[in-house]
Amino acid sequence: MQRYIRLFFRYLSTDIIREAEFRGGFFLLLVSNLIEFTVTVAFFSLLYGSVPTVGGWSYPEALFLVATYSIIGNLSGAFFLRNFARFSEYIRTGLLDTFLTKPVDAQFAATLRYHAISNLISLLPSVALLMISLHRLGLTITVVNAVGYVLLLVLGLIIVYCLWFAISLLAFWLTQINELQELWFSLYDFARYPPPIYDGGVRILFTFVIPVLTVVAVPTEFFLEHTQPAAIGYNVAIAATLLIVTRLLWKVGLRRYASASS
Amino acid sequence: MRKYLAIFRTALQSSITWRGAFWFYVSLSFLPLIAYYYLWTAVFQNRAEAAGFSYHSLLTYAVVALLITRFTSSWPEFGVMENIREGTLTKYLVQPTSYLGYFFTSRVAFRVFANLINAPFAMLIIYVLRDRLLPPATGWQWLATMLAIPIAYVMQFLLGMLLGLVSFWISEARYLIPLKETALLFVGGMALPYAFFPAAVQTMLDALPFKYLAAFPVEIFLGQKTAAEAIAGLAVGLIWLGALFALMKLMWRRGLKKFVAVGN
Repeated sequence: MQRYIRLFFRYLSTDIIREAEFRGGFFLLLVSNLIEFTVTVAFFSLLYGSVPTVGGWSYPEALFLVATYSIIGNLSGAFFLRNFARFSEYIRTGLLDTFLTKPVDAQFAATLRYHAISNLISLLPSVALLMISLHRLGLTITVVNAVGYVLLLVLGLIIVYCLWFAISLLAFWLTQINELQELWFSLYDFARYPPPIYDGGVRILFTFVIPVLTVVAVPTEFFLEHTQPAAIGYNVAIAATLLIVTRLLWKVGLRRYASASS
Repeated sequence: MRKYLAIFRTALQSSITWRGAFWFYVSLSFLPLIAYYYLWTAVFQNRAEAAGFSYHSLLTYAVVALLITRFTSSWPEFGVMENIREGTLTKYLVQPTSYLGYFFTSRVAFRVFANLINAPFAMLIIYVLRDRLLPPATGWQWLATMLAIPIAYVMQFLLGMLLGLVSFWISEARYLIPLKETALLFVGGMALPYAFFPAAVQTMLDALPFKYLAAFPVEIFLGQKTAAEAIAGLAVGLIWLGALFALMKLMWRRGLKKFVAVGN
């Protein structure tokens, strides 16, 4: 375990050095992230300019949700995006071999090798938005709320990792599609709206089958005290289940990969 | 002309080869409508009006805006940036067709094929929401909307080309590509009608070309523009296309000088 943590930070530091070398791309990526964030916030500001509540959620509550959406989006962008964006290429070109032959777990090396440092910087405005919405809500931060929220963010990140990994694993079967990560982005978009707007099949689909709403809504609802602390237990169960399921899918996919290249 | 027909045919054949990928991207491109549907349904649960829109008119706006942007999207920037970055542009420079003409023709072929795949999705959406959509009352609205659609298409193509040509000067311009989908369509009025924007911003957006991507055709469709406003708007749209075309040619000529200088 300790070895993997050390390795993770070694990967991270090499990426920081690399980014420092290619500052132009880093800067443009940062600008791009910031404009996307601005557009999302503008959408909700303009919407709430004409409508006082959406699905029973007030403007500052929606801002808290958007901030959480954006924090998890940036963290997953920072740690997962560059790996899953290359996953189909690994499989198509056989680059996956280089991970399979290394003396570390191949899933670890193939999915956590690369980092987008610019996403760590674009976390700052998201956190600022979180603070602004807290101030507007007039809520004080308690130890229980803060610890629960951070714990739920980490669980959310694990769930994102699993869902995104599962989508990327489709590349073992769908070799024609290079941009499978677009499917993840399209699904994650659903998480930025106040969850009560969804009902029926869509709500069940995005809560239980592809729990993309759970990722953002549960930490938000926990902090805003819309939900019971038991929700943490539910997210632990989802995260653990998904980690096991994706591990199995990865093994199944690898069998297909091995047979395809020999 | 025959040369361009050949380009069209080749590009069409190449899209057919990639039909699996087309199905994937097209179905993804309609997913936001599910969120918009639930959002607007929730918004109008306890009110009859928002920014001058009724539930049905806003739903119509969301559907038509999404359909128009999906049927007119064009991403020449990917190919242009790759050609410039990797130097494969030289291959096209020695061919008997102009690069810009080649690119436009092949994009149109892609669009024709992608729209064949778009069509069943559009029909399904219209069928499911048929009781909640407000089609235009008059024939001229249909006509003016249909005339505005090619303008939207060429506008998307030209804006994409302008973005793509930036890579003559900034090699990492590809990181700006996602902005075209989000920021541009947002200021084009795809996500929210202009009526939700502050008055000052509306005036500014009205003076810019981005409204031709979505807001302008949808407002005609919904009867929010008079016939005279629609005709004037279409004329100004054509002028914008001319101006953006001239800008593209200018960037192309300037950039090419730089490209050749680097290539030697």
